[in-house]
Amino acid sequence: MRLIERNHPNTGLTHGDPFFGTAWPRISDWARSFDRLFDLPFDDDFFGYRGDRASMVRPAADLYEDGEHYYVRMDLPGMDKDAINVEIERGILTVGGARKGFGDDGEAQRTFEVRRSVRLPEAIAEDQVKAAYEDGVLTVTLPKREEDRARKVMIEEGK
Amino acid sequence: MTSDKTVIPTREGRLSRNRAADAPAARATVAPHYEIKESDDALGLEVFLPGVKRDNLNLSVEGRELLLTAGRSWNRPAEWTAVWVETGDFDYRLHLMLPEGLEQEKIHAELKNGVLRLTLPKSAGAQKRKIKIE
Repeated sequence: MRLIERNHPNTGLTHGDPFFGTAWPRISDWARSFDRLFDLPFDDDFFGYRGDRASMVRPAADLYEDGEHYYVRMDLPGMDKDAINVEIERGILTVGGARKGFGDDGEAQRTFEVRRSVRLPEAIAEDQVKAAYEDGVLTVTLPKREEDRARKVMIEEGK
Repeated sequence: MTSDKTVIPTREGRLSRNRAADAPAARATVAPHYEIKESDDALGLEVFLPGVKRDNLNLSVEGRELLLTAGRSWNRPAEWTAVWVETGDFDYRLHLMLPEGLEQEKIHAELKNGVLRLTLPKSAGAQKRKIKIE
């Protein structure tokens, strides 16, 4: 099959057009001071193409936390679970992978690469990281290190 | 069926998004990203719908109009605090004018890993025929 139309710059792996409406990141006030840290300069190749039939996409990502974990959710529609790589190195989580285009055959076969790095706010227990993939969304669960967790201090009643 | 005007996207996606921006309280609507491909005997439509489950996807073809609506929902656990959010809960809506000469009863749709793939076979009369030169 040959491509006759598409409504996005490369592969559609991100859902939002930052210039229209809803795709603006909603940033908490605290995170505003933090945005420079979140996105690393080296993966700023959103519109980058690598050759004619391979292109690189930066997927949309969220970061959440609770008392014991950080959670990164990332839009990765159409990937094969086994083709997703999740790596952590020096406090930076990098998710990468590739997929083939639908209905492409022979010379028209295109490969789409996706890659996104997220700098984690603090050290995490790297050996206990888990990832799950559902409905085209990857969720990475990153446990905070024991010693870094906020501790609730019990106040004893005076006698 | 060779011109790039075979399938004409409507402008609804953008209009809906503008409406959504005017009324921030309402659930936002966005046009999902899609690709349309063509072979000699079929059209292929690939729509990217991350976060959409089968139950939240509606697809209809009436006459030449294809309408897709899908809801993206995720229940954030109460104890999760957002640090940075780029995705969101919103409705996807895609409205396409299909070319004539498709076998509508034979349209095949499959949703997998947040991607909907539609195969729209051309009817015999609309298929490209190779002509033998004697």
